[in-house]
Parts: sequence; structure tokens; C-alpha cells
Amino acid sequence: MEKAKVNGIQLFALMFMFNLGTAVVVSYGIGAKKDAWLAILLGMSIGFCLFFIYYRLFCHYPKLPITGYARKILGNYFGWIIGLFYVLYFLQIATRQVRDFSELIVSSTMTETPLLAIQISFVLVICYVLNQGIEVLARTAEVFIVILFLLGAAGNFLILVSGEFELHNLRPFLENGWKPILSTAVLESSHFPFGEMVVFTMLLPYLNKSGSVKKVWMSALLLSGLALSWTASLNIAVLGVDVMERTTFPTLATIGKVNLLDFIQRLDVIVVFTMLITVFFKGSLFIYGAVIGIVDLFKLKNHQQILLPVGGIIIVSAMTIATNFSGYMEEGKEGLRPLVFALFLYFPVLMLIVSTIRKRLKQKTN
Amino acid sequence: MNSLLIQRSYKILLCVLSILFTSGCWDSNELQDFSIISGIGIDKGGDDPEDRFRTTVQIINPSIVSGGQQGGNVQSSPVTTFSETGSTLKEALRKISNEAPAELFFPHIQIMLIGEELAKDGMKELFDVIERDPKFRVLFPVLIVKGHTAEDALKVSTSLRPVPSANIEGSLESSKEIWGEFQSTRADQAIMKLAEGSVAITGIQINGKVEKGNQTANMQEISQSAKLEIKGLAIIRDGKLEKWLEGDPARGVVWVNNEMEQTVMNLDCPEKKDAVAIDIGRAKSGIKVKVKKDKPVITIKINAEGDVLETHCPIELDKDKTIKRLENQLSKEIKDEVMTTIKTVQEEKTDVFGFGEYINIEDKNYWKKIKDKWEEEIFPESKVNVEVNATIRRTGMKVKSYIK
Repeated sequence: MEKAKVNGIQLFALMFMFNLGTAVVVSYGIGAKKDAWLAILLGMSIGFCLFFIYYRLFCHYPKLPITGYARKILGNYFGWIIGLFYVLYFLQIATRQVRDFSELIVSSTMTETPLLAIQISFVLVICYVLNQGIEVLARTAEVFIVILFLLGAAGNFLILVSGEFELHNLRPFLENGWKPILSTAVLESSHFPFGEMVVFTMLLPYLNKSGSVKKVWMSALLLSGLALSWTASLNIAVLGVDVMERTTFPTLATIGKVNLLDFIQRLDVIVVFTMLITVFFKGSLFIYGAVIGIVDLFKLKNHQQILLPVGGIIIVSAMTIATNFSGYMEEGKEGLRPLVFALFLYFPVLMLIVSTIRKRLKQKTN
Repeated sequence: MNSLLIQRSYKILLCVLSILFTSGCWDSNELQDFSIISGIGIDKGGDDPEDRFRTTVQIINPSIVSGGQQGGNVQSSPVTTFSETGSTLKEALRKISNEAPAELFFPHIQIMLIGEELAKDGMKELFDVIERDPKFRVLFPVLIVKGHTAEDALKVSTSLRPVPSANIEGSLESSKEIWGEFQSTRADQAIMKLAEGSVAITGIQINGKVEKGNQTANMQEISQSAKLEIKGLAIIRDGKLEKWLEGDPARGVVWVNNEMEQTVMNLDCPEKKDAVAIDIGRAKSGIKVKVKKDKPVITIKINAEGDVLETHCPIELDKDKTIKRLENQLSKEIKDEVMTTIKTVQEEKTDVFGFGEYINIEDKNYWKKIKDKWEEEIFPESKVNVEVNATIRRTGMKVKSYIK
């Protein structure tokens, strides 16, 4: 554990951009078709339930990350294994962030650049900022969230002004009933991105005022959920649900439709920047979670010494995770689903139950 | 001292490395290495699958278009076309590289033309590459060349704007704004509607001697031997051209789609036919669907506002009564126009207006039941009401006419 302090605003910035990362650019929640916005909002409310689980655990052990209190709660041996699972999970999701980002760049703007070149430069930047420590990352977030808001405001304003927004693409409400909405909310958006916030359990010990956790986490969750829901509706309203389903990066297609006075057009850069900023923070946070998890589990002196090896692992696995984009997306949808539920839901619930029972027993014996 | 030197050289090395990595110039291209395409045309190739499509690209000749000495430079044409056949569009486009001087550059495409023959055979598959390839922008209009091939149309030289594609796009825009007969179908809209079923796409035709078009001499004539004209509205059903709409029925489509901006309507005088011109300056339409007794009832509401701008008979334009009468006439005229259009598309069993989606919004369960037989059975039989509310605001700079 490094000695660092993060304040509430910085944590909010990190969380907000973390939740927007990739989800704001890919066709998110589309399983629910026209009611994607509702599925995302339901996913967000699941995110609130998850938060209370993490928050209870945090209240029991305010000085430890999740890999730390896993050992306290479940015993040294079993807790260590669960901690290792978390590290592997963070590495895997970090890998997916790197791959997502490089796929977007390669398929939209730099079609002839090899994936590897983009991944290497991206991971190196992340390693550099993490080498400086979490405080630097948090302060960077404070700066970039302003830029992100400006980009978002500009993009939304231009799309709305360009007159491509067709509300009737979003109607009728509940076209296919509640079933697809619920299944998308529970199976997809509960984990991505709201369940992925489990990585913040590694960061909470750094917060300078632990009392503000509740306020910061809930406001970030609410705002990012609303932003994602709005973006999904915007994409559907502009593109139509059929095109949205087929498009790999619908937000890019949406912004591509802006053409004001034959002069303000080709604004793809807004979306690419949004992706760049948000994924940078999301990837950094996951890599950081993995790195300090490793430090904690293997009792290393500091996290700097293993940053580059971890970065290397991530680059290699981002290259080899799938040979093509379709396989990659499929793996994210189906392959990972049963596994991630254990990490963001089952293990924390288990730990919460065990630690509560332990506390009760202790009180009784006292 | 030594360690300071090492540290400094490290920093310099890092700077050099960052120049290599951060400039992102792997995909860099120089402007002169591109052949900028202004228009693309697709025709039917041979019967052999090997040359299913014949693709034509119109490439801008930058030295002529950029101007400098206008009028003086007549020896070379402002654009050049290349054509190739292939079983896919991408193949044909790659083959063109053998002829074109530099790499083809797609983002500046202004129009896409489709030959009538190909449109009749089916054009559903044409748009996939446009949607998939990031080099294309999907905001250019699509037109169907009536009676000729797209290749011929792209070869016609034009005088007021030297790049023919820009010329076509300009006249399409102005005809949409001022005459209101033709909607412009952007490629992305065409894709969206083709996926749903039916779509109406504007046509273009070559008037005069086609073979003369392919010469710069055509540009120098005052009345050109070969001219391009925006004409007709092609009704596409299931990716195939079914029928051409022309004149008033074509304008009816624009009324219903709420795309009318300006147009002129002619009304009858008591004695003379079509003798009062009403300049429509503002129009708005909306579609409402109700499901009554298991049958959809479609209501189209049109609001139009206009001025009297020409009259050939001595009507009392200073009387409110006359204006009211003209308003009624105008409403009826617009209603007739729209009804003709609706009748035609109902006969063709093509729901080019997307009424189906309105039924879906109104009553999703009913829509699920009828979805599969909508265009074939239900749409042709459905009741369509047209309600027009026309207003005449003023009569120009004069009240009564000098005609007595």
C-alpha cells in the first residue's frame, strides 16, 4: 500500500469516467431494443444494491482493500485464493479495456495501424501515470472530467441541433414486454459497468474522509447511469434500433450524422476523445487494482516494481484474447458472464454474511 | 557528474521515443497521393457473377477545379471517370486503382447514382460496403438514373458548376427547397428504409444526346446538348424498382413525409383553369394512426401556408371571401395530390411512408399480429384520411390585379 490521499471530488471524477468507459461508445443495453434506456436504469439500481454490500464490508474494514479483508474474513488460505481471483479478474477486465480502445481506433480512424502499436503506447502511458501513484491519477481525473463534460455537452448539443433526433424511433414503450429489459439489466448492465465498480473497493482505503464514500459513490453511480441511459436513447433515436444493433460503435455513427450548414461536420474526434479519456481511466483503475492486489497478496515492497511486467502481460493477453473482433465481443457477452457474477456479487455477499456472523458471535462471547 | 549525464541522455532518448510513438503517423497520407472521388455510380455488369457490378467513379481533377485562370483552361475536363466490373463493389473499386493515378479517396463523395437496370434487378446489397467501410461517409444522397446507366450520367459534363456531382447535388438541393417535388434520400436513410421494406428514391435523367455529354464541348455550348435533370421518384420495394412516380404524385410523397419546404400550387379561376399561382412558403404534416375494429385508420394532417403570387383572371383579391374560397380550393388541390399518391403506392403495395411503424407505436400488439401481411394485404385495403388546412396569408405587393 502506498501512502496517498484521494479526496471526494477526485474519487467522483474517477468513478464517473470509469462508468462511462467503453459503455458510452459501444452498443450498450441493446438487448432490450428500444427500451435500452430503461434496462440501463434498472442496471443502475442493481448497482445501488451492490454498493450497499461493498459499503457494509468497507465499514467493517475501512483500512483494507478487498484482497486484504477477504483474508481477514474467510481465513488466510481461502481468502488468499479469492484475492487472487480478484487480481485475475482485474487483469482480465483491464485487458478488455485495452482491446476495446485499440479496436475502436483501428476500425474507425487508423485502419492501417497495427493493433499492437496502439496497445503498447496506451499501456505505456497508463504504466507511467500509475508509476507516479494513485494521487497523480486522481488529480489527472479532476482535470479530464472537465474536458469530458465539455466534449459531451458539445456532442449532445450538435446532435440535437442537427435535427437527426427522431423521438419516434424510441417508441413504442415496452415493444417486446419486460422480459428482454430485465434480462439485459440483470445479465448485462448489472456487471458492465456498474458491477465492475467492485474495483473501487481497492481504492476506498485511500479516501481522505471515509465518511464521504456514500455520497461520492452514489452520486457518481446516479449521474453516470443517467448519462449512459441518455446516450443509448440518443443513439437509438438518431440511428434507429435496427442500425444500432448492427453497428459496432454506434455513438461514432451518431456523431457522424451531424452536418450543420455543410460546415460543422465529421466530428468523430469528439467520440474518439471521449473513448480515449474514459477508457484511459477505466484501464488505469483496473491495472492499479490488479497491481496493488498483487502487492498485497505477495507482500511486495511497492507497486512500481511490478507495473511494467503487468503492463506486458496485459499487452500480450489483449493481443491473444481473441483473433477477431466478433470472437472478442462474443467472449465478453457469453464467455465471461458466469464467472464475473461470482466476483462482483457472490463473493462480496458471502464475505458480508460471514463477517456479520463473526461480529455477532464476537459480541455474544463478549 | 557521470550519473547526471546518464540521466540527461535518458531524457533525450525518451523525447526521441515519444516523437516516434505519439505522432500517430502510421496512417498518414499526403493530399497529392489521393484521387478524390466526387461521385460514384453503380450499374449492372454482365450475367457472369465475376462481373456482377460495374462501378464508375468520378474523380476530380484538382488543377482545373481550383480555378486560377477561369475560362481559359479548356483543354482538359474538370473530372475524369473510371469504370470497372467486379463481383463485389470493393473488388471493382480496387481494380480501378490500376487506372487511377493515386489511391481512391472516398470521404468526399457527393452523390451516388444507381443505374435503372440494376435497380430493377435489386439493389439491396449495394449499401453494405458503404455502411461497413469506415472510409465512406453515409450522408450523400442516392439517386436512380432513369433510362440510362449511372456511368453515362457521371460522364455528362456540366457548365455552371464544373464538377458534375456537385452540380447534381446542387440541383437536388434546390429542387427540394424551391420546387418541393423531390425528397433527397440520403444513403443512411435509404439503408434504414431498405431494411424495413419500401423506400422512395429520387431519379435523375439525361436529356438530349447522351454521347455528347462525354465531351468538354458540351460545357461550352449555351444550351447544352446533354443535360441532367432531377426527375421522378422511384418506388423501391424489397430492394427492387417497381414504379416511377412523376409530377404531382411525386410531390405527394414529399407532402406526406413532412419534407415540403416551398412549392407552387395552381388553382382554377371561375373561367380559366390553373390560373392562380399560390406560393407555398410553409408546410407541416403529421401522421396519426388509430386502430378501429381491427383495422388501421391512417390520418394525415397537413398544414400549408402560402401567398398569392400570380393571377391571370380578375378575381377580387381584396375580399376575405375570395381568399377563403381560394383556401378551400388549395386544400382540395393538396388533398387530391396526396390522395393520388396514396392510391398509387397502395396499388403498388409499397408502404414508402413507413405507416407500419406508426401502427407499431399506436398499438404494438396489433402490429405484431399483422406485421407479416401488412404490405401485401392490409396496407392496400387500409383507409387513409387526408385533412388539409391551407391558409393564404397575403397577396404580394398588389391587391387587385390590373386584369379586368
